[in-house]
Amino acid sequence: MKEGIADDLRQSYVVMKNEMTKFFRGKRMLLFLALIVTVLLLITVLPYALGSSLSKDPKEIIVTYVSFVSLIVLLAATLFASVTIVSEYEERTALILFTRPIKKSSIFLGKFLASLVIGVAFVGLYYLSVALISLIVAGGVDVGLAKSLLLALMYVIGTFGVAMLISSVMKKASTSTIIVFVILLMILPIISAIVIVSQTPDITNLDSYYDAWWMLDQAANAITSVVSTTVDIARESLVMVTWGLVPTLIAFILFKRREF
Amino acid sequence: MTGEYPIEITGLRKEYGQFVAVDNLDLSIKKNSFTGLLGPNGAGKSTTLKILTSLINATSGSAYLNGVDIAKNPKGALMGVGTVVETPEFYLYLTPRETFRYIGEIIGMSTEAIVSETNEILEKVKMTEWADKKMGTFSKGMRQRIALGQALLNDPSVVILDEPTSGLDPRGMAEVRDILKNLRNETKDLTVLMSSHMLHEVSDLCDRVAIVNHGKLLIHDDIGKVIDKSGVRTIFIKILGEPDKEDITKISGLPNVANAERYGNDIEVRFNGDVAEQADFFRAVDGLGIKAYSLSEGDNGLETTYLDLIKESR
Repeated sequence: MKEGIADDLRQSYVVMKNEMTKFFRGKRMLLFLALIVTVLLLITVLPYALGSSLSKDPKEIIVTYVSFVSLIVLLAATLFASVTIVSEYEERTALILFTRPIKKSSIFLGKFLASLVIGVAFVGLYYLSVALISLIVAGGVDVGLAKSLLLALMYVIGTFGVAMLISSVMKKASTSTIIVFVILLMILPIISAIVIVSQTPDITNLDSYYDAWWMLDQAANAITSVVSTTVDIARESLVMVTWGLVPTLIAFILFKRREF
Repeated sequence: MTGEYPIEITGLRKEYGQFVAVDNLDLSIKKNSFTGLLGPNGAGKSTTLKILTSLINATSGSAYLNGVDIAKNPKGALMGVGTVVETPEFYLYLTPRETFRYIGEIIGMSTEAIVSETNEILEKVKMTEWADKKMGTFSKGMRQRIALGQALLNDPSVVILDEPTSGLDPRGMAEVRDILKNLRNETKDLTVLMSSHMLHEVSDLCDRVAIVNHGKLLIHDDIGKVIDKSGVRTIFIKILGEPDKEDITKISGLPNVANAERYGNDIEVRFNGDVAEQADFFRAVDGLGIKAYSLSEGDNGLETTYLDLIKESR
């Protein structure tokens, strides 16, 4: 039995390696890398180009940079996790992979981990860049960066779970990509806004605003706010991980039942 | 579920809503046989092979590969099985060598075994010079050869092929058939189940045939016996010069000849007998004094049986 599980995990690793090769050799990776570099360059260079400069306060510098992390994570989910399952069906490579002695759970795990590793690596790279910039410009790094990084990684899990679910049911990768992007960028924030408005007794009073803490996009706000205010990191992390794990579980069940 | 039948299907049924694609199918494929699965479009061939390769689930019934239930333990059942289902596509960012390595690693082969088998198989499927080129530019025929190659990794004891020459140009078909012929002739412990539309392909490659229609098995036996069951064979006799009426009359008078007539410069004989009687017929033709230089059985021996069976099953 142990040998069986060990072999399943070994096969997941093989699938993960191949999936990462796909990402590294694909155009999406270049696009994403260019996007991150552009964001970093714009935030860093633009103030100087306009005759101003970056703040000398490490906290302020970090807030400026991490306010774009949600968008970067969202794009990573859109570009990588949204295509990982559906591409096997659309490109008919499933006829090669799924007819091999490998469990669907190993395939699913390998693909999910590959997306996750890419997402985590890019987020880590972005935060490392921010830390370096903060060190150079302000002479130090605020501890809020580490807290923000932790929450950003939880958001990676949350968004990638949603993306895996869409990828497991769609027939075309392009459709899956668009749907994931729209859900994460528009649908979830719209739902949150409607919930907040409908549950808030006095919309003109900011203090009476309903806290839709259980929504993914609302929990993701903590990635930025944790740098400057007190945030319940455990609760926000739990919300984002739940948003990741529940759709991932549903995605796996649907993928396992899906026929070619 | 004995070792005598590496592929066993019992009471297999697959429904798509009201449509029954496979209807209580029982089929046991003999060890070391090369079996052709024949049937018209929609007969249930591909559905059966997709169930066997775990791409779809049966509504009821069972399918076993090497004695392992494909529904209960697909990973175990597909161990030692090579497959080419429909026309698979490949990871276009990989080369054939990288593809073989990927598949080999999934199977659990050692790096050394993957390297040596890859070279051997690429040679076998005549793709050595393309081994390190990305597959995005490959023709359909080349991709099908790679598909066959990856199915042969790790010396499978069972190979399942779903219309391996479908959609290929004549040259591509010939190349794939050559590979399959070599496989049949050179590999001892190998059981092949191959679906096809092409009767001559099955006649040429397979020693056994299973004919299905409406998801049901109509017949399954050695090709010779299947043809014998219909009783009628077509034999072409080539003679020096043009055949004349006297030649045709002489042949018509031989035992088991239902009809003989001129067919271009040949004589087409409708022969009603088994293989032993056919051997007697060949000897008798030799003794007629006509200048025959070739006697050959037409492909439509199987075709006649096939068409009769399909007609009956409507």
